Amino acid sequence: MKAFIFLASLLRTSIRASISVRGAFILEIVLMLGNNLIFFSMWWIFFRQFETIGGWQINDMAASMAMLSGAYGISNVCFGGVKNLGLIIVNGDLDPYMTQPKNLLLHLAGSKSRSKGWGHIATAVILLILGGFKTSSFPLILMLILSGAIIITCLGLIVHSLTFWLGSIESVSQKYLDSLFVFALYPTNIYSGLLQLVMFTLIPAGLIGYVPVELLRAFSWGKFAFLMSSSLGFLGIACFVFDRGLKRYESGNKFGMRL
Amino acid sequence: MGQPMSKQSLTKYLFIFNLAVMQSLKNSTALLGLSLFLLTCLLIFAHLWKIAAAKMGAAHLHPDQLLWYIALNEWVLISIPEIHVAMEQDLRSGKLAYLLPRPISYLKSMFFEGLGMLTVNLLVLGAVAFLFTWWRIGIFPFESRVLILLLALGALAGAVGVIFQMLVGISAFWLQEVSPFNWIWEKLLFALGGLILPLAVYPLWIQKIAYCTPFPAILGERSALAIDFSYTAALHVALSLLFWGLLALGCLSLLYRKGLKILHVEGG
Repeated sequence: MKAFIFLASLLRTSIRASISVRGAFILEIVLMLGNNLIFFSMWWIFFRQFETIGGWQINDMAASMAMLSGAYGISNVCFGGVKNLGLIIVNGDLDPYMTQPKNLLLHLAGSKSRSKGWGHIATAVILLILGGFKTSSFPLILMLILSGAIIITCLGLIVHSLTFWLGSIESVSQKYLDSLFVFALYPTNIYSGLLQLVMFTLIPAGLIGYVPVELLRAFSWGKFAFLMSSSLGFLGIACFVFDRGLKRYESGNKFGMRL
Repeated sequence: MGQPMSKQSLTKYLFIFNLAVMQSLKNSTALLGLSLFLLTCLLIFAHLWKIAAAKMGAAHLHPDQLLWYIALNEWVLISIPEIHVAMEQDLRSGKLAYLLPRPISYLKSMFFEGLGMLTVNLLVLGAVAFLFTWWRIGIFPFESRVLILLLALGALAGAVGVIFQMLVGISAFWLQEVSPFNWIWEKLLFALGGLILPLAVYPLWIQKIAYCTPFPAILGERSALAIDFSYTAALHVALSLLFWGLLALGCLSLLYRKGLKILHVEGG
């Protein structure tokens, strides 16, 4: 319970900090929204030509992008600090966080809120409206988006925690996380064999985009349980990897302060 | 980017170019990561086109040709280095103030650094993209003369891409963060450049808009030469790239001078 109260206070502070430079905040939201809608227009052109791909239509693509944008949005707004983790480890900047009697992982993840996340969330709302989704399916959509947000945040944690072992891998980690966003926007049923396995494990794009859309198309408790247990599985792996990595951490011997 | 270069100053920039090439070659992890990313993209598109192949009659395009088209697109797209990140850091941290007294132009040094990284990426990713597509399709459809032209146009498109990346980076003089502009640039390149579909199958009104921008010359129009090659079309792409490259260079030089005035007034 204490951890949740701490996280709530941390988020309030981080979000306020991100809003403080109002011009930049609004600009980032508008440009991220534009960015996502431009990308969606590419799919609109594609589906205009082919109508269905692997049983998916433009509405399913809208739903997929809404789920993905919503998940990325929540992850960026609430746990934007994950993106800095690799750099913090390399620079030996974990010390100021470690000296505080708070949950280290929550503290790091919630230490920054990224404005672009609001642009992703706005995209999700617009696409859900355009896709004509019923308000009755809202609780399910929210659950699916939250599950996606957990997976995205955990993947970020896992990939950036590898810095504990591999040193500076910032650009590769970022490329991997960016590619997850791109790959999640393709209907995973177009893949087969090894590639499909990769899309559910190493690059779990299928868990963020494909499975949630399939659940929206035809709900099944089996798929829902699979998705939720996968999210919890990623959470467990992320905590384990970070914890193991932390044992290898060497202080940067830097004087620093975190308020 | 200022005055024309003398032989002596060109040597300095070639040295920067060489340095960037060596650094990029040394960063094998990044090259491996980019190659894997490219391979995954190509695998996805190969599957996508296999599924879409049944409906191909509507588009009058063969999946094999389209895979070459996408390979040529992705090759250049992924090779363009994110030089805007380094520029943003230089401008925002005030490092630029320390770089200015050097007897070289900051813009030219960044351009040659970008070209060095681009060259290594083009060579490595080019080998990956061409070998994979060749293996996947089973035939190599290009004559040697056509191939050389396609490679040269790819390199030119990459160089124009570097200049546009620098334009994004230079906006850090006025903005807190330049990445939102990079997202828009990138997505416009995807959409109006015809990343996954040739522009010919786009609605006419989008085609008209697209051809008023540099995006088709950098991606789709250039890669469409793999589907339907003609020397006239290749010349048109080359001239378009030169036009947009020179225009972007002019804008870059102008914005840099304006930005420097801010730096002189407000300090680094």
